Amino acid sequence: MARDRNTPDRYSTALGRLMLGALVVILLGLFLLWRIDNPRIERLRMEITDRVIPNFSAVTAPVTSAVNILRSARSYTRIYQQNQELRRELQQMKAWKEAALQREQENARLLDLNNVRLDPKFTKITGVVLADSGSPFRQTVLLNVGRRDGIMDGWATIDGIGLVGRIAGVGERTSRVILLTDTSSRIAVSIETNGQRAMIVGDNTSRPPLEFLEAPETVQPGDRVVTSGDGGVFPSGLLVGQVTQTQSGRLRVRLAADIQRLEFLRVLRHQPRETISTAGALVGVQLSNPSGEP
Amino acid sequence: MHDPPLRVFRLQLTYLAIVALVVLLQTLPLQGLPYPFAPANVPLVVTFAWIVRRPDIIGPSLITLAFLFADAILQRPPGLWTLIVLCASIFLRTRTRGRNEILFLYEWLIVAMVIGVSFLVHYFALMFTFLPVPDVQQYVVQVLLSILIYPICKWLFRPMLRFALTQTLHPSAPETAR
Repeated sequence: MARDRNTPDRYSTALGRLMLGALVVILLGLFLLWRIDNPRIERLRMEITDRVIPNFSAVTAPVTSAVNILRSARSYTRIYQQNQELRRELQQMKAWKEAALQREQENARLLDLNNVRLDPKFTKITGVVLADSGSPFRQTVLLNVGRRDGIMDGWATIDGIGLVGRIAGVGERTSRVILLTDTSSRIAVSIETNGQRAMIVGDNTSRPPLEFLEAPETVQPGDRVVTSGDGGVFPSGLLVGQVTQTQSGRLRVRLAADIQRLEFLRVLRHQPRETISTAGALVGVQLSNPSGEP
Repeated sequence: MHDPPLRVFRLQLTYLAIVALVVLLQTLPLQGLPYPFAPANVPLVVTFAWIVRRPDIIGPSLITLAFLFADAILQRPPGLWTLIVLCASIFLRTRTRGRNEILFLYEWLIVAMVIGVSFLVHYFALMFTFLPVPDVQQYVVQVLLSILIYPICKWLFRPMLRFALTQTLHPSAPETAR
């Protein structure tokens, strides 16, 4: 239509072009600034998320619960079968419970004998999952606890059973957890049976692979994987999952945490251990150097 | 196209609300596992559908605002995807402006090409700035799905945008007769 071409266009006026140019420069600048000075912009992003998501969650809570109810309703169709399974599991659990009680008593006795002080890492803060990343290429969730609850970057997050991820980004009321399955997640772990060290490298699949194993042939599928505490980021000994083997022979980890349905997460308070850097300072006066060097 | 400013403003608000809603609904914690396949990029397709139909409503500042918000919430590199969408929509605008009666297939073809090029530029921009790039297979699925939902999107928004158009028929007779 000719009419359209005759109307003055917002882009074709000088002012419009100037504004467009300015926008392009600003956006490019923002991206480059983010690339160079990542933490500052990420903090800004966290503040925005902190403002938006908690307010929005009041609106979406009904949607989330409706979907969850629908999902549970679907499981009613096979309720008999489930009941049978649960009974069987209950039998097994009773046996386990007896064993666990005995172990607990024994453990308490031994701890008392050794006069062990348990690590204060076991205090925790529980938060509710507000949102996930919303992108198929990122695996993160947002919790409703933040700076005001004392959350700090780097703390480990578990779902009651196994490790889920670590805190990366804290806002006033919210904090973001990078899951083990995210492509930027690297966790130092050890295989419980033989103490071998390895890394869990997230690759956006539900079973992240085990990398940097020294002797993969000695690792059996089913071995338990726990955090090793190397690097001082995580407390050691948190359960991560079990080793599985893919058909191609690659070792992966089946996570103990149920990441399909994350609802409540526990954030473990963890102060990094004090490192002892000077040798002998505790003993007394620094001995003079026999070789005469300073 | 001379809409009353109030209607333009209302449609602009609607656009912002749609993009914000789609982005926030994506972040609902329903799916914990990694996606089996990458879903379509709905905000992008909505933007293209609107800009082809009503270029007078969606200005560059509106697109910037909407997509910067999406960048912030969805943890994308801030500004990069916004910049790409902005340039793509300007291009799309100059391609389709003044041709309200173009064949739909032709329009779809152009939009599909623009979507493909946008994703390609995004991929290479991530690569050249040494950022982690998404899995190629999932990425291609996302591009294809985005292209596929374009007709649905257009059909969905057609009543809303057409209603505005019928109100705005230019009264000058000689021009409409042409």
